[in-house]
Amino acid sequence: MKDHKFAFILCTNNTLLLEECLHYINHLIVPEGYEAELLTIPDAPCMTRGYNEAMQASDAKYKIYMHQDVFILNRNILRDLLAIFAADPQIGMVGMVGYEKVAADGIMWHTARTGSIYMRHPQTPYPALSDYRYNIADGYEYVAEIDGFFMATCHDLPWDSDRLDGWDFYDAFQSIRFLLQGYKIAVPCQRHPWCMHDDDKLLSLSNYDRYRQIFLQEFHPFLGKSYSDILAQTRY
Amino acid sequence: MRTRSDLQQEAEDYFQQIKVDFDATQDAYRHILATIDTALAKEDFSSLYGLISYIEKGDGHLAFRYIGKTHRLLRMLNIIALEDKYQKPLFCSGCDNTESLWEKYMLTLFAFRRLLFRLSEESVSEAAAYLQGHPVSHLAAYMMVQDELLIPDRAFYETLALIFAQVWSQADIQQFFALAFPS
Repeated sequence: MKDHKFAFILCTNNTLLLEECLHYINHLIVPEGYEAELLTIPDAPCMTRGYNEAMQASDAKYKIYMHQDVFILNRNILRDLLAIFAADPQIGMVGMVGYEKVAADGIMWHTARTGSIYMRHPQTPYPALSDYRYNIADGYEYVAEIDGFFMATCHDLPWDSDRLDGWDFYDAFQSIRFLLQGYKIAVPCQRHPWCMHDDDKLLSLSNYDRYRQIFLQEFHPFLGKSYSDILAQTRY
Repeated sequence: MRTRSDLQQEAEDYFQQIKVDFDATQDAYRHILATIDTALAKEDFSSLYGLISYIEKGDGHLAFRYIGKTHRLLRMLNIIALEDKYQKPLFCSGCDNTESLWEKYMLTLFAFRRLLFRLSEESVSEAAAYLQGHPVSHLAAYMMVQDELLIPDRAFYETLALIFAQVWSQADIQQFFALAFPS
């Protein structure tokens, strides 16, 4: 495993989006002494299998699993991620948007959200992107779950391809799995959001409920619980 | 205050409704795509405009409710209808199916964002060159900037006006700014 290496991992099925996504990745500043690689998995059978394949293929310590329709705005994101991982060695995963509690109905956005994502009408105006710099003193929050559009890890934990053979709920599953392994999940406080997620605003919900039912069954003891409640458990 | 069981029941009801609506939603979406394909291939724009009411008030509302891509398709239809009304070059010119229309829209949007975020000088100049090579009307530019995921400032509108100065008339530019900054 290379400690000074990042891997961007994307399951892709749309060249148009992927090329634009890569345009933003190619503009990121790679910290001195570090290297970055890109692994794309075209037409993966499902998200978890695609991610597992890439995870096993990469020797990078830091892996960034992200959607092809995410555009990274913070050019210093790699340096900032390193600062967060270094701030608490127990942090195993970082997201851009997270939720302190696991929702009672399993739908993560039904609970209070933390973090940030580029929005058309933000509550507080964003500082100009060119002027924005994150400082670890700006802080981060611990959460129970993060949104799957951007998940950065510093430990490899297999994605649950036994239960998840589609495109939904892999993020919620992986979040709980990280917590149950004793890792914390952090979401940075962002005055200017670090990412834009151009996801058409609506989900493809046709299969969502199927995986939600699996989640409810699998993680029933943790519904409504906070990250600290779950961290306190060593087994489930 | 909603209890945990209330939340769970709401979610169950919501997903049950999705299942009930699923087939009709897929049918509506297929109809929208097929109609756009046919209309563009035949340059039969009146049937394109008919889709607006189909999506807003007819069976197409299910596609609008459940399939995110329908929102952008409706925006494109509204742009084209407005351009037709004001006798401007149509956004769909050069597009002979839904896919090429979608691609033109997305590439235009990506270029707008590159201008806004200014990742590098090269990124900005590439975007400007793309837009100059694939110009859109001031109405299309205005509607996209207003409704898409980007936060424009006055400098951004001025940049667009400069890029399209060769194809927009003075009246177009005046209307563009009047729409963006109503007094």
